[in-house]
Amino acid sequence: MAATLVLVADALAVANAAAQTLATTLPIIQKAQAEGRTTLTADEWAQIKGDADAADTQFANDLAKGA
Amino acid sequence: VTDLFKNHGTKILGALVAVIGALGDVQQLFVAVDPNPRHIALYSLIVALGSAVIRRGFSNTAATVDTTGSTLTTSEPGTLAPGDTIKVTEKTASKSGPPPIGAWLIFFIVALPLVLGLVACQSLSFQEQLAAAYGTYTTVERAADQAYVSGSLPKAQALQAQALAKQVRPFLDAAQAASTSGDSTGASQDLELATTALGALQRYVDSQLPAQKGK
Repeated sequence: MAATLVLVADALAVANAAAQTLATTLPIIQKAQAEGRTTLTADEWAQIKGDADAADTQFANDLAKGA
Repeated sequence: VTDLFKNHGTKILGALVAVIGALGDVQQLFVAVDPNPRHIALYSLIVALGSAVIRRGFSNTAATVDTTGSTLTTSEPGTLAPGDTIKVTEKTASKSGPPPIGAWLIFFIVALPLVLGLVACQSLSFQEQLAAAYGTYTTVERAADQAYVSGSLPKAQALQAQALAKQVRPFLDAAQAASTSGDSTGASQDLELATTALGALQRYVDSQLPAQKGK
């Protein structure tokens, strides 16, 4: 039972990694389309690049922890 | 059919759940006029849960004990009494167990942004395509990170994935800067290079997962 819970927790954590990114990028693209824009605003770029920066930092931190 | 469900029931159940989740994702990404990120995330979770059940099914199969060569000594045939002995001869498994759950799941998760990218590139402007490429980059890096944290991706391979990611990011940033400054030719070239490097990163992470290495 405990092993199953660990597996499910692992599954949720991995799925959450994708959900986090989709939750940031997709709405921005949808909003731009809905408003008929072909370019993104500076704020939207800041969100998208900030998300990528956060992933870079998290990955580097986790790798450093495991050193 | 009864034996099939008896021996593989958990795996079949998991597969059904995962397929339902995958169909939901496909519906949202390809069919829905206005895809909802929350629904996509929910369907991804269903795929992940289905994969966990499949994994559990493989664990059950792997736990089956092969009693060939074992002996049972009883004082009275057909019954067990104090003093009777059971000798079970353990056999070495002929193949390794199923890959870690993270391996199966991350395979789905890494594939998801690729689908998103394909959908996004169908009718989007250049900047929207670039945003989708950033999203793919972020998701693949998070998936690689999660694989490393969960133990599915060894450190050497995680470092290699990080090194590949570091090659992708400058092209994305250069394409974004060029696009913002009106250099459409340079931006297109940088995005093309970023997309090529991003594909290499995705393929590398996929290929290093135990589920893929075991094939």
